[in-house]
Amino acid sequence: MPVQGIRTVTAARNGVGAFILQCKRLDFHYCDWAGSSRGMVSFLKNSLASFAKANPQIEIRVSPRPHKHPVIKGHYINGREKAVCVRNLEPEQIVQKANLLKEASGEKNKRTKKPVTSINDSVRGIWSPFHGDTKTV
Amino acid sequence: MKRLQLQRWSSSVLSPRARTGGRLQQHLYYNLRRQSTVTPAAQAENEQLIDQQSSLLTTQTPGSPYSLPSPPVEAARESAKLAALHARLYLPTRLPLETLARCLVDSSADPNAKFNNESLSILGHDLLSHYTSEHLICTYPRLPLTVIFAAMYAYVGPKTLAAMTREWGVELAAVPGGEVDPGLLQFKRVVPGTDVNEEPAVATERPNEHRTSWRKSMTSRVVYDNEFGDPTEVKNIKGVPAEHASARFIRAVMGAIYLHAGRPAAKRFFEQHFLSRHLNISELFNFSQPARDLARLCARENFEPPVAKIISETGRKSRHPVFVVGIFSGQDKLGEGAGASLLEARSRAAVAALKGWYLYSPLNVRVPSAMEEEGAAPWKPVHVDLGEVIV
Amino acid sequence: MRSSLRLLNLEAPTLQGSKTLYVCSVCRQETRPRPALARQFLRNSSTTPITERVRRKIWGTDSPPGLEDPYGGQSVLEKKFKKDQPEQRPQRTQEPDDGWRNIDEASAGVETAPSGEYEPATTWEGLARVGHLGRWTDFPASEVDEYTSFKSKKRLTKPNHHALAAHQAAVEICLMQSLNKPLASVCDVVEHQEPIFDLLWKCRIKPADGQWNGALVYPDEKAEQVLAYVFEQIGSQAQTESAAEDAAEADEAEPETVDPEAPRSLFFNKAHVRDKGYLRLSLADPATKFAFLKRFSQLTGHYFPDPVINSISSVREAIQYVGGELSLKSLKLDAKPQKLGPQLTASKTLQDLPNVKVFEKRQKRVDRDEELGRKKVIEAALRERGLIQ
Repeated sequence: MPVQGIRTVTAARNGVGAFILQCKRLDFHYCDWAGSSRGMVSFLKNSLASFAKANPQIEIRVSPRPHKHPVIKGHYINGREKAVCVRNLEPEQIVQKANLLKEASGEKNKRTKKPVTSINDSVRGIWSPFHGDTKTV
Repeated sequence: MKRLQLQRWSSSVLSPRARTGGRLQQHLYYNLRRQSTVTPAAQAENEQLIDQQSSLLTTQTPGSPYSLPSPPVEAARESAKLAALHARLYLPTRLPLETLARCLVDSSADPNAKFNNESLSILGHDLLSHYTSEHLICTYPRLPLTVIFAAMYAYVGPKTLAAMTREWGVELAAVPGGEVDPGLLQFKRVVPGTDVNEEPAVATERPNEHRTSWRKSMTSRVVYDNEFGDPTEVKNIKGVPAEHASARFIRAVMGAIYLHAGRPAAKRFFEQHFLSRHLNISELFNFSQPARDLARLCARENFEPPVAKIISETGRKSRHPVFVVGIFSGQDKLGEGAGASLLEARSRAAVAALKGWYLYSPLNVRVPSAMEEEGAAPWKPVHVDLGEVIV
Repeated sequence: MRSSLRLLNLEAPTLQGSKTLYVCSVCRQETRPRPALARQFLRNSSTTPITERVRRKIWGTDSPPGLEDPYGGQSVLEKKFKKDQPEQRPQRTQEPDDGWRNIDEASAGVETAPSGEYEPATTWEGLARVGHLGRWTDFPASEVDEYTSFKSKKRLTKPNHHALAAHQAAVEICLMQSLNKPLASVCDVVEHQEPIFDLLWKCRIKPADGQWNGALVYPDEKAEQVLAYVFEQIGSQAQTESAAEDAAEADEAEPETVDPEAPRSLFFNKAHVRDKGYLRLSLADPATKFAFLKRFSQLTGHYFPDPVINSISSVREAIQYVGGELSLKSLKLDAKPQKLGPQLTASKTLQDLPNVKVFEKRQKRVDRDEELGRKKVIEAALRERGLIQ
């Protein structure tokens, strides 16, 4: 057998061919009674339809959670969850929070030190001490 | 002008088409409980059997969703998960939600062929292997067969497809049933305690299959085995691993797009979701004796025999010597490699030279399926290579 | 306990404890007066604070210069202030003992007049008294303490009285409208004198399509003049503040002059209303509605809650509400606040969106189990073990 093949798996590059939004589900919880849900109830009545229409790729679930503060919970493709408590917030602020959750990748927040990260090799190549002009001492 | 060995290249170029028929036959063969001919009567009998099975399985009242093995068709319109998945994949609107729901029902969940994704996944499987193999063979005409198999596995193998299922955000149902959300992938899971490492039941049409000690040539795998060079496994009745079910789902989606939205949409979907993934083919090679292979290659191609020469070195007597060795054929440098010993550097240089040969890729590659489009430019023959060296 | 103290303790009983009764060792430790010697071993046992002792050590004398306690105690300003007014301080402390009743009496007599120049007060004398220091029950009621109800104290209950009141209110507001005066000012006169009341009663209302303009029909010319004269004054009395003499004049001619002792029997003299035209008057105009309901409420003594005011649209309905035929319940105004879930499920826009799912009930783990298909397995296992039926 002169050469064998090594089995691997191709790596996904989200956005190179197709883009898949990482937020797959948003849960909106509210309470019918409590005053902290006032903004949330107003958001659900007035702005939810436009938000859902703008983001058809997100599954949106609305369910009451009595005697609790209103919460938006985002479920992500990597299996993680992010929840934001929106008590006493105005509907416009809740839209902002929902957009924040929608645009998140689901990863924990981390510091980015390099402007670009890539799985491709560098075009310039790696410097080699054995090539180029020979230095004489 | 080089000689063309017709017998050898025909097997690799024409293999997908040849395999398509083979796989379909295999499928029908196993699905119909090894009946030798497919007749309408046999089909009806088979459905009856399925009906009996499903009626035995269900103890609930017939009206409730619990009595069904998979979600009813009407439930597809109600599921938010399914609609979100449809939008997330930017699937064409011509592909209805009901079909997408059907793609998510594995044959292990619902044995009725009218409601599971088996037929779609067979179509999608053939399309995927067809598109991938033509892409690989046209882009890298000199790849050895083993590497083609590995690359096929990397692009459309079950592991990759399972990873894609996860990346598409498809969740798995715990147990299939009529009350389950149609947006979940439904299949019967492997019962805990079963031996997964058990030798799978294998069925091929290979002659002398029972002679285990006989060598299976690589070229015979093109004909008898699947597109990854593995023997085809018989379907396991007891349950399927999540990986297989996920792979079948993705293939079924591909088949459904082909059926509902047509060939261009299917090709676009393939390019966007499969070919766009990153694979470094040069990492798929595993040479055992690269220097020998290179010598054989040079002999076959009527090049001058390869000679290894030291280009530079440092610290020969030290603890960390580095040698840079180049392999030359006459005046041409075929490859170069650095290593801690002369032999290592030489074999690295030979590997580099071999990869340089095998990974040749012509410019402006066109695949044969591009001719299927309306008003396509006339076909220009692609580069066809002799293939790998035989030692 | 340190060893030196323990030694002292051993010595102590021989000195003094022989006469006392038996006390347990712990209590003896507590009760015994400490020997002077032992105090020296204790930290901070001396009367001088530690900062003082440090200062003494630093300066090398027993009376070091500077403040005694530079980092604590009173500030320099405070000390200076204390030195400046040494004789005022004891007075202030005495004052509460003298009884603040005297203070109140003194301050009550003083008129709080705002002077032109601002002069900072040094004592409380002559300052306005705000609030009280307690015992408010001892003071006589002042003018602001009295409360008179806007509505009549007696609630009218009989339907013919309601009709009379509504008729009167309608006629009055028609009059005010014809005189182009503010409508709500009819409430300034709580009760008219009998001749005026009779004239009002004789007026008829014949509205065209529920309009108030021109609906009033006077019994004769004289009545029209008298009523116009009387009601002309009502508005002016309420409005014009500049002409003081005019107001004084009007006071004599005022027909109102309510006698609080006189029985309010005017409604009881009349048995019925002469016509039913006022019932058809519309209350669509908010200003008219407010004026009418205010006057009607004043006359009948019935209260109209806000939601009822909102829902009432004609005089007939107002009378029905007062008569008890309409209530919050029949107006469907006492309904519980609607839940959001049914509203969202009913909304057409959300129904059209395929990716939105609205649940009216709280989603629990069971629901998730059912969605994943796990519930039937769990139930089967529980049933198998006999844990559920």
